[in-house]
Amino acid sequence: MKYFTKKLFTLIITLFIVSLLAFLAFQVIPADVVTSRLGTNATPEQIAIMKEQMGLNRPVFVRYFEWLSNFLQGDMGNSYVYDMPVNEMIAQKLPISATLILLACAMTVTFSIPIGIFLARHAGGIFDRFMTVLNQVFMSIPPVFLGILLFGVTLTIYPPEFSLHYSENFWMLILFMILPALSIAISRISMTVKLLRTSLLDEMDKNYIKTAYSRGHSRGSALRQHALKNAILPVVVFIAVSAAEMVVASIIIEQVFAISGIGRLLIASIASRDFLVVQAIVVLLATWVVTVNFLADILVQYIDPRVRLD
Amino acid sequence: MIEVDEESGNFAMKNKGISSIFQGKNVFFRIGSVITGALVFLICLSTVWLPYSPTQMDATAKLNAPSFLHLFGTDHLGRDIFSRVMEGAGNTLLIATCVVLIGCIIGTLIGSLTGYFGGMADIVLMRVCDSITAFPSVLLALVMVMLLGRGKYQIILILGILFIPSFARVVRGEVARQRNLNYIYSAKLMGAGHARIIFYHILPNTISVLLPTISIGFNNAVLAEASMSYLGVGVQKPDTSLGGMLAEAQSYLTSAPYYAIFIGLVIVLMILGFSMLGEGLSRNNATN
Amino acid sequence: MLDVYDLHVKFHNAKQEKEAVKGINLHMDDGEILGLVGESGSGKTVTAMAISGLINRSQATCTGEILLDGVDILSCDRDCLRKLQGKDIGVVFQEPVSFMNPVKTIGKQIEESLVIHSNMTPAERKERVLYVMSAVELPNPEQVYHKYPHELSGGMLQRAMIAGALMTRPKLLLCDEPTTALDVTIQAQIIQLLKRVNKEFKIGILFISHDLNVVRKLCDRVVVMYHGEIVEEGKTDEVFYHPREEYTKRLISAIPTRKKRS
Repeated sequence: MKYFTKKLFTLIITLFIVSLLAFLAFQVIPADVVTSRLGTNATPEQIAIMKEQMGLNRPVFVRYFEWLSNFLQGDMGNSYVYDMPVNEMIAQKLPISATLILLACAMTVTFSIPIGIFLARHAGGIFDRFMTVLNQVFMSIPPVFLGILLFGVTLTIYPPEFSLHYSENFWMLILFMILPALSIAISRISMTVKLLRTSLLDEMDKNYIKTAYSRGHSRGSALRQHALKNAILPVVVFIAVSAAEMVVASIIIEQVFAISGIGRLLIASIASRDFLVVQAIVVLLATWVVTVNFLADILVQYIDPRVRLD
Repeated sequence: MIEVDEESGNFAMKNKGISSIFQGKNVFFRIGSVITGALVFLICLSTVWLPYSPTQMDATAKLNAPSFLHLFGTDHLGRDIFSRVMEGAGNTLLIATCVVLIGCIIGTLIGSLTGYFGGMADIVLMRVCDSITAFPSVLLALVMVMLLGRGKYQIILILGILFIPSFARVVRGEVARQRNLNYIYSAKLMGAGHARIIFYHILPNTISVLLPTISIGFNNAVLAEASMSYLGVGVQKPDTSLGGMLAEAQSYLTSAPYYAIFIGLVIVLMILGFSMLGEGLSRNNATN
Repeated sequence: MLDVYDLHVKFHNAKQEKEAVKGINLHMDDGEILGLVGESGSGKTVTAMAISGLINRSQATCTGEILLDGVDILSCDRDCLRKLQGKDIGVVFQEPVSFMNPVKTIGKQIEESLVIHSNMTPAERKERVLYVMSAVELPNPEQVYHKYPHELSGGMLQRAMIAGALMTRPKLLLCDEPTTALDVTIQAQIIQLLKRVNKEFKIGILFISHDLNVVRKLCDRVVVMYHGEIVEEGKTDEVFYHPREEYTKRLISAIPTRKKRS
């Protein structure tokens, strides 16, 4: 329990630091904020008045805490471009992006673990060698390209009205998301399979497996009941890191498939210099990354008793 | 290059070193080097000669399928895709090289200093590096683009900075390990100063660890560059970039699939070449 | 109980072949304690691994016969071998820490052979495990049952390993240098424990060691190996006090003692 609370504490501190850094990063561009409101022909006096009005002259930490307290209550300011509350804009798109990323994560876990175990079980066989080559190739296909190819598939297979109405029905959403999620997941699946296979084979060389054999285990049961629990640890960590990477890939995939989610909003806001939107999204994504890492830590601790410090 | 057997502290040869990679049957390395070598050769060749100018438009030959005249076909403006792809690949390779150079040189510097001297700076810097690597790099890059603007040189700077931590980590680990070996102790007894120890003794021994990192660095740099220019954030028009072309090609996916496919194929080959090279190098290290 | 006829074990890796065991013959009666001594590289561990069927067939070939109550282990296929391992043959390995799974509890690891070879319910298994745990003198069996390997000392772990090997009342208990990794006081306790196990449960023990002092205290008969061959064998006292072969004499004279030898 002590370990858990210590980690939770670290999590909260990290979130603070991350949000502070995100906030500070965007404070480097106050002039732009003002000029985008007033236009490039604004006189210095107009700029100065605007700055005062927007409260940009106050000390950084004051502004940070004000922003933070607003943020935590759900108020993320208004978009400069659309003059809509940012949280509304995000709330609309969040479920769609969340479905995409979670689907990709689910795919990664459900496919890579059985395949990894199977390859380790039959290491050196024909399928194993075939998969090694296949893995190497899939790891080298950028989500961008795979996304475009699968997008082509989408255009040919799915009826055109689909892309307009898929968000209305949950199952239609999932159906539509399969190919985009696959584009994100495939390269991570390859890497995870490779990692699990290597990890399992390394464990099978260890001494306690000999003990298992001496008690009457077959190679398969020794692998599943002994090696797996040990080998899965680096894989858990890797999947957590993947969850972070997949967020990035999803931004790109949303562009490819024209999915109106958070990623697409982010890109558009960067292009239109809509700072508050960008800031809010970056902080949200950062929170996701840090939280997933935290959960992975807890999971590792649960599996491996040696890590538990209480 | 003096290498040491840790247990006995003798001046025996421990690592077989890099030359061993050419003996033995390292398939990954061989295929990787063939692919990469061929691509680099073609790209260098393309700087002096291309079948067509990448910008030359031919209104009569829009979206032609691949043929003997146009190896990869023509795009929507009648330009030869092959020449454009070669030029784009050249840009990508240039950016990747600069990024890896920045990351490698600065990262090695930071890593060797912190790995050697340790202390508070070491702990702090490594925490910082860990946080940067934990964060998805493209996200950070996008934020930095907001601050610095878009373009070829901005991307080089941004990605270069983002690649520093991975090099620093690797070098730091190796330097910290070598620091305690016996041959360093002897060098110190002979009166070598810190600078000499780091740069003359330790650093050459880190090369075997550095090479796969560099290869993977290229791998990731090409990937990042293609993604960023696809999003419109990297190389700007009228410069050609593979990612940018991919974005254009997407509109013609059903009418002229070869447009997107060939671009993607070149990207995949570049990444495949570097990743196999990296894999081959790290397997070579592992068997030593 | 155990008969070994003309056992050869050849290792073949990519470059060369090495014959680790060059034609040895062994015999053990029921309930006997046989010591197998020799230096490192003499082939004693390989012999033990061959007898327990733990030699990786892709790495080495074994020829000859190993008869356990009439069943030839070498001509067994995987299925038949698995019926013997953990049931009629138990193995205690040298170093308990690495030979135990760090992420599983002690209780779960001790009961493994019961899970594989018997139809007992979990409750019955737990009862048996606790009984054997106290038989091997593990303190607080209830508590230790739920602990993990890294929470126990070397001596306690080795007892747990012995418990795990004894669960199915095997005919033969193979001990591969079980005391080498322990300190001297614990060594003595383990030796006493093995003696008791042998007397009470009538289990034959094949005890491998390079430590002659330990062998002298424990074993009824001794076999000396050198470079893959058997050099001498006989009753413990005879071999130690009246060694016939040169090698045996050198081996014995190398034991440090307080008394001077005549």
